[in-house]
Amino acid sequence: MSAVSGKSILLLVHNPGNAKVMEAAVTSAGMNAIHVDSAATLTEVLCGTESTMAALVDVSGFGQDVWELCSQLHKHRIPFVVLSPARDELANGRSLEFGAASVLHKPVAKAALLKLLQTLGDSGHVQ
Amino acid sequence: MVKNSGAKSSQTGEPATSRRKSISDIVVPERVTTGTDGLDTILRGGLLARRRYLVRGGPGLGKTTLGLNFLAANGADDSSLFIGFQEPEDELRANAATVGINTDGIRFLSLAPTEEFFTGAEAYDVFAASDVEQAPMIRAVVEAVEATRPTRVFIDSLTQLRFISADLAQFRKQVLSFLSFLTDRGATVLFTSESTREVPDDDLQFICDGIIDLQRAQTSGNLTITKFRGSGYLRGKHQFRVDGSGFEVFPHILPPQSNRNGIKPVLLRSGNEGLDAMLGGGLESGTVTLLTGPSGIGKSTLSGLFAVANARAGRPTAIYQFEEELQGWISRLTGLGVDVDTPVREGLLVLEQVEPLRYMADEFINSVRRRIEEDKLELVIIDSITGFELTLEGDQVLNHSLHAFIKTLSRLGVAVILINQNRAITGDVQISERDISYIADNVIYLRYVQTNGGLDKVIGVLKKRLSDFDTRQHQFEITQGGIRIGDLASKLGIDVSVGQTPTVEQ
Repeated sequence: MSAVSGKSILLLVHNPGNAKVMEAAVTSAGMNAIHVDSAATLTEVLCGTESTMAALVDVSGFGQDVWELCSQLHKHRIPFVVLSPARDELANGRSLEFGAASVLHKPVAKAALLKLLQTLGDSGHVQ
Repeated sequence: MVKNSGAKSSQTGEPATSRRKSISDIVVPERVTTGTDGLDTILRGGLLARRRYLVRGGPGLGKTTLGLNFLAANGADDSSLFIGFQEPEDELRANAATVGINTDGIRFLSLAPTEEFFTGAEAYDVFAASDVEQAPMIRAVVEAVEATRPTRVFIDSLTQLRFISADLAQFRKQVLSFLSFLTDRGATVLFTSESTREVPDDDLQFICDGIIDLQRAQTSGNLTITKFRGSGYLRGKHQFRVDGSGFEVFPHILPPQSNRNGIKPVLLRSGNEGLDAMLGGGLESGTVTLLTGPSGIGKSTLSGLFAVANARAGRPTAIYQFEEELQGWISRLTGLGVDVDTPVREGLLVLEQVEPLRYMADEFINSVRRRIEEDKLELVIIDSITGFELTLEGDQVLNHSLHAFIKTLSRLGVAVILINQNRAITGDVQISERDISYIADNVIYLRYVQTNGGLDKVIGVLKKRLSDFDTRQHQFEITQGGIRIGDLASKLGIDVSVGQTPTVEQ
């Protein structure tokens, strides 16, 4: 994980419990975590100076607003992975439409997710 | 391949394969009390130290109370650790206090979820529980164990670990590793499981050194040891209860081996010459006598006369009254001029009213056995078998309990009188509607007979294993001073050979 050390991961998560455990996981892997729970916060972060290497989007709890968030990430060329509930076929399709690098069904294996983030960071899609 | 068959022991110079352990080499394993006397008896002295034991059973049976008893047995030396996944510490302490368990010396590590988990701040679904909760849990346990250095650990329940394990193989490895971590540090471990049809606990049963299985019975609970590596134990079901005194188990004790061969029985007399003559002198110690007859004929009075006569002769006697109120029974005997008070005051006559549902069968049997040892009882009267059945939470094992109980008393050299009521008022003699006459060495029957339009009372001895006896029936009366044995029934004009023949039911 040293290659991505010091880089930030955007966590677009509505559920506080999920945000807490994801933040802990990302931090434990040596990355910075920035929690975003609204479009306004995302805009603020994207306009800031923080170097963002990738984003994780948990679709639960955002409703249709989540696609606007995905759209913004795509526009800023930030690679992102969508986490969706199993059997949510609609979310799977739309995530890819809005530029997601991958869609994973919850619950995900922590180690696999962190590995995926590292791969995304190493692939050079960094703002 | 070279076989090392000629290897020598470095200490003895003998071939290593030929050296066998002598008796003195065998280390007797250290035992630790469970904190429950009856359970220690069943386990032949307690659990083996530094091993791990599974307590199984459905909800509300007393697994946690059993565990708290185990931890509290360490006293206040602060080396007992409760690892709980379900209830917060204050709730556990309060529950323990209600059953009289002092938790001062117990350290609690509660890993139960707090209310924040529900109120939204901590619930999650993005990762599996094994990814999130395992590491903090292990850290907390290690810290608590290092801080406490416990000699006793109770885990309630280990099933919770299953839910934060990635898969069954991981769970099994983690449990083995976790338990080894505790026992390697000197702890004896008791842990519970929650077994359901969907999630059985068979894997935990294989892993542990012993299993204490709690089951719900008709009106009580049954405890069974189904595994105990390295030790013998009392097999079978043992009744238990959880109440204000904590967790109590009543071992289902098998009758002792008879060691009375060659010992001449002592004769216990009734205090009535006529009756003693019918009995060939009296009732022998270590024999069981069935005193049977219809309602109101005088069975309790007659047994009371036996009791008082023997108590006054210096033979400690106990009457367990299951049916009639003791005060009424005393008044009746006193009314006949029989002094009950003196032997009671002198401690030679013990009268106990057995209240309905106060005892479980095994509990009662243990209590009587204890009294036999403490008071050196020589005669025990059970009034009556019907009361025994109804009062002691009758279930399918009761007949077995009664049999074991009677055999136990008999082999301890105690004379037993069992009072049995049968339904027949007149007609053929019935010994008992129950299949119990086989346990009796002696049978005394009382019956009514019709004479000249009235009813007379007749007494007879049907069976006596250790002596000759009078096979004839006698008329009798309960009268001032006790019992009066009168004329032979044949003199009353009763034809015992026609429709009046005593029979023993099969």
